[in-house]
Amino acid sequence: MCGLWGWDSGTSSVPAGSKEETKPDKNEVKPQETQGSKRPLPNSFFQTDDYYDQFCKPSLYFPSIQKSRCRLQKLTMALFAKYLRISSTVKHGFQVFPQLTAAKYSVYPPHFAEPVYKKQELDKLYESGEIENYKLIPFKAARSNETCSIFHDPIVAKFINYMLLRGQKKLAREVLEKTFEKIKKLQLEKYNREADLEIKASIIVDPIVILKKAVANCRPLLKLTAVKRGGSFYQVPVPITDKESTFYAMRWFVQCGREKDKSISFADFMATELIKASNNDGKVVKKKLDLHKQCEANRAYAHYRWS
Amino acid sequence: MRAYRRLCNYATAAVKQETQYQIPTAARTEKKNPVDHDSHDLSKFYTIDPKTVSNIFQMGGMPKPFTEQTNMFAETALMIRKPALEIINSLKSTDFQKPAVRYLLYGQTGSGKSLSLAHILHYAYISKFILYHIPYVPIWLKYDRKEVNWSSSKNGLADIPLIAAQWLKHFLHQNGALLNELNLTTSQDYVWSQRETTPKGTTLNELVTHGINRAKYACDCMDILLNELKAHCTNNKCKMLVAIDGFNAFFNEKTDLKTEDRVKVTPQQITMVQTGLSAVLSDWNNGAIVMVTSPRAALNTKRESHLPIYLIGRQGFEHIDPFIPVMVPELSTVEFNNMLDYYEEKRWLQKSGGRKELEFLTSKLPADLMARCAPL
Repeated sequence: MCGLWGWDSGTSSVPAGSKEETKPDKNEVKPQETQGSKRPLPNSFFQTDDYYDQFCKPSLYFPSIQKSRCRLQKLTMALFAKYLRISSTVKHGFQVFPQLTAAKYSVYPPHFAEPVYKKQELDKLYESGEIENYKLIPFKAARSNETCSIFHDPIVAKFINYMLLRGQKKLAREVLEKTFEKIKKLQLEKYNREADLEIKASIIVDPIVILKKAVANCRPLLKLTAVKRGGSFYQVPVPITDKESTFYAMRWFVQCGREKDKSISFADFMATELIKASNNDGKVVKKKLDLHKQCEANRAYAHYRWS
Repeated sequence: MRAYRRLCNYATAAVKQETQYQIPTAARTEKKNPVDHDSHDLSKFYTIDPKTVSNIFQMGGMPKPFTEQTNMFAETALMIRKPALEIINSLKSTDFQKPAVRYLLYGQTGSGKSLSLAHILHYAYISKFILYHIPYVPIWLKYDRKEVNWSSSKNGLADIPLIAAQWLKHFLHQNGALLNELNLTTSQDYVWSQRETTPKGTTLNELVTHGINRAKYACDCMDILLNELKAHCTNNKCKMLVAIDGFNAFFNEKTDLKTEDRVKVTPQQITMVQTGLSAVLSDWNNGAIVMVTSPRAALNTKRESHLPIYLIGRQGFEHIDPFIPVMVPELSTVEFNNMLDYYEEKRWLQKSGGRKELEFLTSKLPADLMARCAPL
């Protein structure tokens, strides 16, 4: 059931509710109708057998399918579906409002929840008893870059994804690691030079904390969207969601990194920029302030948002 | 409500600092003199004071990442490990009237051979050995665009004058004070050219200075210096430690160097290499020889094994034959934990957990460990 093999966790990363439900006696009391037939999908894909029987049996959607011949039939079905170009529909079953789902091409049906892959978070769920709420919910498997390692950080992972060019994730990760190394070098030199203990304690050396602080400092409060009124477009200031503002901040960092002078490496530039931004200074913070200024200038158009 | 909260919080929304954990301190010993180190100090750190570091290692001798680290941490701390201690102990108990004993440090890339050598060098420096120290042989042989000339004194051999002069500077930097104290002199006349001669009875300091000033004769000067030192050692006037890092580069198949008439030279055709090889011969006493073989010094086609016989070949093995091999292994569990404690103390590593993961990823090689901790 776990999507990943964690270093310190011997246990599964996701929905543990199944522990009690997939008891060995379950297999013994298998309904006769499924005998001899192999499941079309791996067991871990679904939460429990019950769940599979209730919602995901192909026969629910295609009553004509005979269970005993399921495997062969499925292959021919898939080919046929591919021929008709309705394979995604076949895979996900018929959706009531197919247009409303965000991820059209996801391998998971929309009711699958995001995985909890950190052991600590899972423990918290167990402690607070919230795990009961998750027991019957199917979960996606954890992605390959999501580990319960203590060195993994979701914000850093996100930042790497924004830096990514042409799918070269390894390269992006290495560049960010170099950036972190550089940050640490700069900060440690400051740290060791400082004689005053109070100032020394206030110097942050942890590059991940600096990254988080820098991103938090660069998140805008508003954004501008183009609204068409009377034949022309107006830049209208609108509120921004948390997620989007984080995206704006991270994207600005990457943009500044790409616009930099060629004589300085991306890692070096990013290191100095992140340190500056964590002190509310630098190019990216200026970008944020510029956006705020423009929103302020366009405040007269604000009502176009609803009128 | 959410929007309101956001408006209030966010510009000042400082990220919560994670709760401060108790920063561990590494185990250190108070003994700063490597002469005093014994088995009780194993796997502990000792600091070398900056003056000694600049005296011994200013012109090479420590790996570059380590030098950067010392700059960052504002101290040079070495871990006392078994291989170095073993050699130091045997240096203490050697009978110096017997021919010089040869030690060979070997081990995987990044297992700490060069730093073990640094520890030994520190010991030798403190106990007044003359250091005949070649920081890293591949620097001589790699990378083209060096001036390479055919030697005027030795037929068929090539000189690298500027590099030799640089090495002589390194030698003088390490041993200048000691040479002045011992007041060693040349035993015969050396005629460089019609006008330039070094008469009998000149101090070795002057000989070396001449080699530095007249780079053309630097390679010959190196050779003469070695012979003089060997003779002095045999006459019981001084002690000498020959230390060569990247020794197996002497036995590589080729170098990147070309002479002016575009002839490629092999390592064996270079005068400095011949000098290095003759330094390793134990036809003298009152001293010791420490060599380091490392896969990185070999050509990149020949790095599969770190075992000496693979790296130096049969020819090299016969050249240094009676020698004491000393394996530099990866860190033991105690050493590994102490190393990480040190990194946490110095804020190089920010998180206290995840040691098992680091152990798995680096296979406890200290150089790998340092690089792996860099972004964490």
